[in-house]
Amino acid sequence: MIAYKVLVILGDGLIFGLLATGVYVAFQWLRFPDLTPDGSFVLGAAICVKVASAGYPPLLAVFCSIAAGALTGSCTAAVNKLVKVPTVVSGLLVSSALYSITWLMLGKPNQFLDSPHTLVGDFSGVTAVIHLLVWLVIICAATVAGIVVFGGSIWGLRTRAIGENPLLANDLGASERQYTLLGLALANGFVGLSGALFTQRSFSADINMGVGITIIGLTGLILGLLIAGGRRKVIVIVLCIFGASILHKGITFLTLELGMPAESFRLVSAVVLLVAFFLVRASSVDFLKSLKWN
Amino acid sequence: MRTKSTALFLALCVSVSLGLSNCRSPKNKEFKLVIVSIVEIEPIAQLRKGFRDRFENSQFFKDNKVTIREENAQGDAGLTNQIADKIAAEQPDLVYVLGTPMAQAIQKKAPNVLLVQGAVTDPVAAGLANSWTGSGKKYVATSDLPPVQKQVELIRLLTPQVMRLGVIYNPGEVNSVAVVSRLRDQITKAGGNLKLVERPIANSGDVAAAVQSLLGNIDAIYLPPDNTAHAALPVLGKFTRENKIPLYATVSNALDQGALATLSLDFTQLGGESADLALQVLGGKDPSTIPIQISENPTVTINGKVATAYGLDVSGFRGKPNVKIVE
Repeated sequence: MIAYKVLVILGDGLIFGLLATGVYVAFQWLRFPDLTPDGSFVLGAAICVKVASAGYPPLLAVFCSIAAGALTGSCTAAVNKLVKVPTVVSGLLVSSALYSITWLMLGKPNQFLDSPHTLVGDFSGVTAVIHLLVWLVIICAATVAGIVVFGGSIWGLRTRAIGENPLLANDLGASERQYTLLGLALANGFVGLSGALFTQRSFSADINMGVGITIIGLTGLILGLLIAGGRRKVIVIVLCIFGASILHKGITFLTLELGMPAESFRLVSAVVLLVAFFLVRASSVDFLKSLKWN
Repeated sequence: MRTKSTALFLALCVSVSLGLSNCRSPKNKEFKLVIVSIVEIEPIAQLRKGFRDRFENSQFFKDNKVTIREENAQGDAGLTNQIADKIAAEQPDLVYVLGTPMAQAIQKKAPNVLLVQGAVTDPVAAGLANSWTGSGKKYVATSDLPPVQKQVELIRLLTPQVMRLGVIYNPGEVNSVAVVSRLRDQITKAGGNLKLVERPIANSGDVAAAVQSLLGNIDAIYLPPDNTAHAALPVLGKFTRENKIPLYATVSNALDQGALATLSLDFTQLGGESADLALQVLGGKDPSTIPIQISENPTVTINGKVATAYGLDVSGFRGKPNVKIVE
């Protein structure tokens, strides 16, 4: 039973690690306080359930989710850069629109995913958890490799430069518009992927499942930066984020195991985040410094 | 079983009407009854049928010139208020109301009309009654709260080895909170070694995580009438089947998903019980002192296939009234 639960926590941690990586790209690379994940996570989940239930291969469904997530990210960037809506508001705007879009697409508030239509197929019990974990490890490894390669490429460096110093980047010939679009598409592609993988565990997509998801991703990111200390290498930070997400899931799972009262569930998560913020402040990690608000 | 309960029905009717005929005063008076439903769904149709059957078979109905009219708001909030206005204007002798918002509107606009509600979940929280032991107003009601005492008895009888009972519900749903807090009280009151392990969920996507965290900490799961959790019934069924955990629920479609047993209300009977309450008031009882009545005759349905798979003996349940065993 304990082995089973550890496997479950690891799986959950990896799924939310992808989410936190998406938040990392938006918040750290672009310095863009992006609230789109509240919507793109659900959209990713809904599309995955819809496509897989229609009989297409689950892997294709997951790719559709990534594409949909990327599309929502570029919408947020477009709203911000073209209509000149402030960053936080454009994320809110898109995610609240996505609530309706997801609902319309599903046709009902939630849809169930039959186990034959998941990545794992019709296994059950520990076998299913192990199979899913293998899938998750492969997908996460590919993602980490991808983001490290991208981060070192000219496009990745330009995206990061946009966050650090948009004026200089502009002078060097990198269009702030284009790279914000690219960065947010990448970030929300990760979020969509994490939403799709979440349905492999929850077996359903629910229009309310995205509420507060950005905060969960942010918690993973902050804990990850805390673990990374002052190290700045992309690969170190991303791996720390995954480790932190697993840790965070472990803490939530433990509080559930200890049987805390039903009403205080969200409060515990908030306290974890608050403590993390406090520690970040105490150790001199320059987190969230100079986030862009316009 | 049908014939038995019909017989019981008739016996009750006779006894009630006998009681009435002893004390009932003037006969042959005009009596206006309005039956108001908020929307047309199966349980409401059953409540209405149960009420009419019982009421039209009563001595009171035979002794007086009763006119019955039916209204239905079709789920429209505007229509709900119009119907309430109409009732306030015509002041009928009795209104049988189905749907809490409808009842609230009528009570506000026509506080002097005797109001009988068919199935209310928490009349005190809804402001319809001052307390469960007596409304303090011209209001009587039968409640559709699942009878938690019977639920606990069923769990003890069918699965005596259960010590820790898991509950999954959304703390944001008023009905679920009401049911779970009653269940908690009932378990404390009953003493014994049953323990409640609660898991909150915010949406149906949380159910899988909640069940997984319950594994190893519980011996059975009870699913209250919670809309959020019900949306994830297939997940719940899958996990409980895989781990051979008895799942108790309150709606019959849970049986198809692998629930061990459901304890559900018979709405036709509940309608009959609310008719009895109305007849008590017409017989001279003060409506403000009649307690809100919780149905004590739920139907138990046991999934025979699941019971066999879990190695449970259900032979003791065969032939009992209000118990159905499906294979």
